[in-house]
Amino acid sequence: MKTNKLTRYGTLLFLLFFLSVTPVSAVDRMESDSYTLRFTNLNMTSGSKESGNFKILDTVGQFAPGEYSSSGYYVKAGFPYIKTIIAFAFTISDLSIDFGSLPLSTLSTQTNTLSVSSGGAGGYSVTAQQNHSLKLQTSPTTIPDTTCNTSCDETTADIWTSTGKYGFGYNMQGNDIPIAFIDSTYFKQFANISTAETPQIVMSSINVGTNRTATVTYQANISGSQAAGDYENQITYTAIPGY
Amino acid sequence: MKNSINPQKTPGVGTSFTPGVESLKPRWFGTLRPRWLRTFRYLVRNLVILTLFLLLPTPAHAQTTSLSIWPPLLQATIQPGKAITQVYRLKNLGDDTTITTALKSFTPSDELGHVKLLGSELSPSFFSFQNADIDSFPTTFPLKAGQTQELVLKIKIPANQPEADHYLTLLFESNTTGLIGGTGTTNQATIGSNILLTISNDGQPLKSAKIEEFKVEGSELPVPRTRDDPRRMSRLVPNLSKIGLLDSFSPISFLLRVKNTGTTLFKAIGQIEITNTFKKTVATLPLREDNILAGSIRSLTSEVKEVHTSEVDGISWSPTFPIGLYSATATITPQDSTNTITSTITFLVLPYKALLFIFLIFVLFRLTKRKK
Repeated sequence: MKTNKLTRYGTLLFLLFFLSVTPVSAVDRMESDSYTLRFTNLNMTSGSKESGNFKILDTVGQFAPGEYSSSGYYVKAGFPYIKTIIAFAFTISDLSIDFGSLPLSTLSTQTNTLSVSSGGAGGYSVTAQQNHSLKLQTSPTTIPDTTCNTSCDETTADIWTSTGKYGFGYNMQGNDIPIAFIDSTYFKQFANISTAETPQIVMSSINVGTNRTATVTYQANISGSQAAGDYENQITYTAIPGY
Repeated sequence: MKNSINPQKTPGVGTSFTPGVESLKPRWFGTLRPRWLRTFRYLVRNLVILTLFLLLPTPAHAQTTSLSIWPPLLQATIQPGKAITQVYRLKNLGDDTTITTALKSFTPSDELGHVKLLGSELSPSFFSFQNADIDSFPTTFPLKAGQTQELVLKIKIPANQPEADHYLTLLFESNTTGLIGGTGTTNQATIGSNILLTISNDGQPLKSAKIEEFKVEGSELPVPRTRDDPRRMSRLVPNLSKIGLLDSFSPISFLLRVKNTGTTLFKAIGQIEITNTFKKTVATLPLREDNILAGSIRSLTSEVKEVHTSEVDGISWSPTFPIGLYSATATITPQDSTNTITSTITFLVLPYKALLFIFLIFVLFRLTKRKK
């Protein structure tokens, strides 16, 4: 009988001790394998809010998801899309595409990767543009943009495997790339801003996604008549979420 | 002779391996060194090794740019004469860089929610940063690797500004570029965040929409024609030419294009309801609440409830072996309005590919049998 009482009180004391030492977890971070809720700028202006003068809806959560109205306005608050918890992120793996000394009549290639994480409701797009064709620093001499084996430009791709075709172009392989790049032999020109060409989409999606990655292959080939020197240009990738 | 080996001159106990200078060393030089000297030599040796290691050429490190921005989208309705502020969080996940900000207007580049940047349309005086350490907009500031910069953007609308929508992208351009030694190209990254701004006096601008196109994607039923009257069959079965024919074993997807016929953007709230031959509702497909900008068309997609990486485009329905005549009704209501619009289509689902295959097998079987 005594043993039973001791066991009972012991168990009770153990439970009380266990409950008393269990830490109270903060409610500022919630996550699972599939999502993380981030509460940002709660004392500032994020989340949905309104007054008599304005109403504003951004895509971050609030302390108390729900609806409220004031001064004749009506706003939905909370988490209309769970996907919007992902920040929009863009990465270029290597900013230097260095061909070194280009051999004659040989297709030289270099690669880097583009990665995008998009939580916006409307997906994303990445555009590319070059400031000018590959050009000598000291003279206007250029390595022209490729025309591929037969014909290609900044909007249409074509196979470029011939060492007798000279120029500079790129191929995309991976996630969310334009369908024009059927395989790794298809190339395009970069849109040239100096000739008022429109920047072209190199990656795009209408879906939510994390670490969507594509490899850019830069290809150059010069003829024996190409003037000696170091040819350079700059390519700008612009990543913008959808709306 | 001084530097020659002369074992007879080796002093004391132990062994000296430096012939010729032994006479200059104290007797304890060798194994009987004091502890402080051994520690000193140990430290000097390690310092030399460390210095040499630091001076060795390090392997080439590819220069990267990695930026993240929050929030990716800001939607605001503001009265003329009023102002709002919004905090942006820009994080540098790559190498040290400097950031230049810019603000440009955009228009839809397609019907899928992607943007096409234009020149800035609003006066830059509408926008300013409220940070104490960052100049007025536009501005350039350093951003070290791993650093997060909070930027407080203020949007102040002048009192005389007319009611209108403005669609803009706040751009953050990383000024880090690569270094090349020969022929090559350097890359530069720019990241953006969209702002959907509605200037409205009463906060309730008129929202109206129109279903531009609603259809099942895939093959359509060929309209049967006769030599006498090509349209005879169409007369017998009204709207026959509008009926889509789909295979029971193929995925069924819908194309729903909605046009914003008003002067302000709205979120399209709606669904597609599918009924079978007996008018019984067999499926309800909720639609993603996409923004449709004023005057533009957007192809709507299925609602996505959680983060995923699969390719899901458009609106798809995956029933188990559908067969018969179905109707699909799309219902769209612009958010915060009662202007509901609907459109209904009819489509026939049959296992016609399988039936065709069975028919061909049957014909081949009969032909083979006849030859025998």
